[in-house]
Amino acid sequence: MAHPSAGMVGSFRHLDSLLEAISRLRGAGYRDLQALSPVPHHAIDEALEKPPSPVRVFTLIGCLLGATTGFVLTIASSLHYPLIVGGKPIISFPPFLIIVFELTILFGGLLTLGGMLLNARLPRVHVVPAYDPRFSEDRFGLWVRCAVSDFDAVTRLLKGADAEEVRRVGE
Amino acid sequence: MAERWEDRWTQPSPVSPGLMRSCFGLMAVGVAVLLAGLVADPARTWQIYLVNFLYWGALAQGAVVFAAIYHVVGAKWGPPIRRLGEGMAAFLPVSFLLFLPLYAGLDLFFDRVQQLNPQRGAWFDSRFIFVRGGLGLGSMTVLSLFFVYYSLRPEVGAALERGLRARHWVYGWIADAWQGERVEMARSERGMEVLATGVLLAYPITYTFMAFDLIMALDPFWYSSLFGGYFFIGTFYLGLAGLTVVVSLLARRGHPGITTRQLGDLGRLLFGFTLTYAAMLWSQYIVIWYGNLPEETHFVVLRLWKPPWATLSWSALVAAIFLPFVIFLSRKAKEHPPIMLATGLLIAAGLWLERYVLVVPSLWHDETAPFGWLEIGVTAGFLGAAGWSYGLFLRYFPILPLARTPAAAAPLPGGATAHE
Repeated sequence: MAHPSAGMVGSFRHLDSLLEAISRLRGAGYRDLQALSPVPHHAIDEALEKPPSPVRVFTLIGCLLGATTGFVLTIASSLHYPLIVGGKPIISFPPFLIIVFELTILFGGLLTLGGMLLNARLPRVHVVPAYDPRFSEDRFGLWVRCAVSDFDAVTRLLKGADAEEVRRVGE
Repeated sequence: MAERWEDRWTQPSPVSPGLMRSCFGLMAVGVAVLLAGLVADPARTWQIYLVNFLYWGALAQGAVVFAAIYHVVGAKWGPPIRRLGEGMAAFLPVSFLLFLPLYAGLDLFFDRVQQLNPQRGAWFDSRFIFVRGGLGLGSMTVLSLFFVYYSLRPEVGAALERGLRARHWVYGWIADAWQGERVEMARSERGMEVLATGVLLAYPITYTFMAFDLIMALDPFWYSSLFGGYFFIGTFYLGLAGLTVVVSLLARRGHPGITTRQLGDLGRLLFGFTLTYAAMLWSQYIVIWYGNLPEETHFVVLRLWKPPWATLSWSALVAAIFLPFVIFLSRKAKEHPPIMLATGLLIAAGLWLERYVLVVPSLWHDETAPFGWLEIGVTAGFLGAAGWSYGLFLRYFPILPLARTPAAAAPLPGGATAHE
């Protein structure tokens, strides 16, 4: 078996050529693509047709956890110190909802950050072998992970979409 | 990828003459019902007139404030949405004119308030309220119209230079003393900068006064210092909801200028303001709840727990806050025009009910809420006037604003096109 990161990297001068290469490779059945771009661009997301980000599940769990914590914290502490203030009931929701809201946002935000780092595998000590400093400057890269036997076909597809340069990585 | 600039001017307007005629018909119905109502029951007529005045004028102003914020922060995500917001300024002069007859109604309401609570004195004299309200609304209208004028001028001038549309006195007036694209673009940028800031500074002040004078003061004893903030945030929320309705209608008909992504972004913004609006409501409620002073609580208790208003208030909260919150949690819903259209209409309807329960319970003391042909007719009239003036704007001006002058938007080396 080849190395999991084995594949070909094409570099492109123009965004349009990158998008063209993505659509040709996807058309030929190559799904494991990763774009390396100096600037974020919505057209790349659309071309790659990635499924919705899994981070939103983390956000939802964080929010639900935060809301629960808020209710438990406020209700339990009021029951532990049952002081009647201003003639209000011991458990009175109007002020509790503020704490509930704050903790919902806090936990949701923290878990979103955590989920983002986890899913993006950050912080990253080693750069991926497909990376090239030019991909942070003025070139777009497309990393196609594929079997060694497909290298020639992928090279042809990349060149056909006007790739300036195609190289192998991670054998 | 880029639509040609010229196409924006030569494409037909999305507003059909039939739609304009229906709006005109609604307006005629509204005027007839209003006159009949003034003869039959002036107090009831003026209170629904006030509700609708606070609703439709605020909707238009909220949308213009959105356009001003869009300009001030240098946003780039939805130029057609900015233009659609600017267009609602077309209703502002009409709304200002509709404020003038309201003097008779204010006189009626504040006579009673002064009798019940004479300590309020001259500050809440109906004449003083009318004059300061008129000054505030007048200056907001002038600022908003000039802001939109500066946004339209370079585009109208450039289109006239190329003969893209037949000359018309409106275009001639807007592009009067034209000095060429380059000069005009720079001038328009400066003008918009100053006027957008002006609109944003005048807006909270004017709308705080509107909230205090035209809603809060109707109750002889109630006060809440946060009410102004609540009202202008609610108004901005209303403006965004109105914009969402228009944008989703155009997106549903497949207008080339509006993308799914822009609709989704507008949905996210609206979602944020659902929470902001709820927070403004809550921060007032909690202070009143804590203090538990009868002169503060009676206003809330009457609206939330006493028939016939309780049902209406809770419906307003469900329509303007709870349901939109649940719907907007879904990303797909925010990018789906029919759902966005329905949610925009839901919020708009909820906020109409909100204005209704803010105003009417202070003035109406019967067992049942006043709602019949009179209320429907007056509301239809306002809807017609707002739709007609907005339709007029959309017939004369394209929905996609100019990013840069066509000369500046010439192809860059490498085939890319400069595009906002």
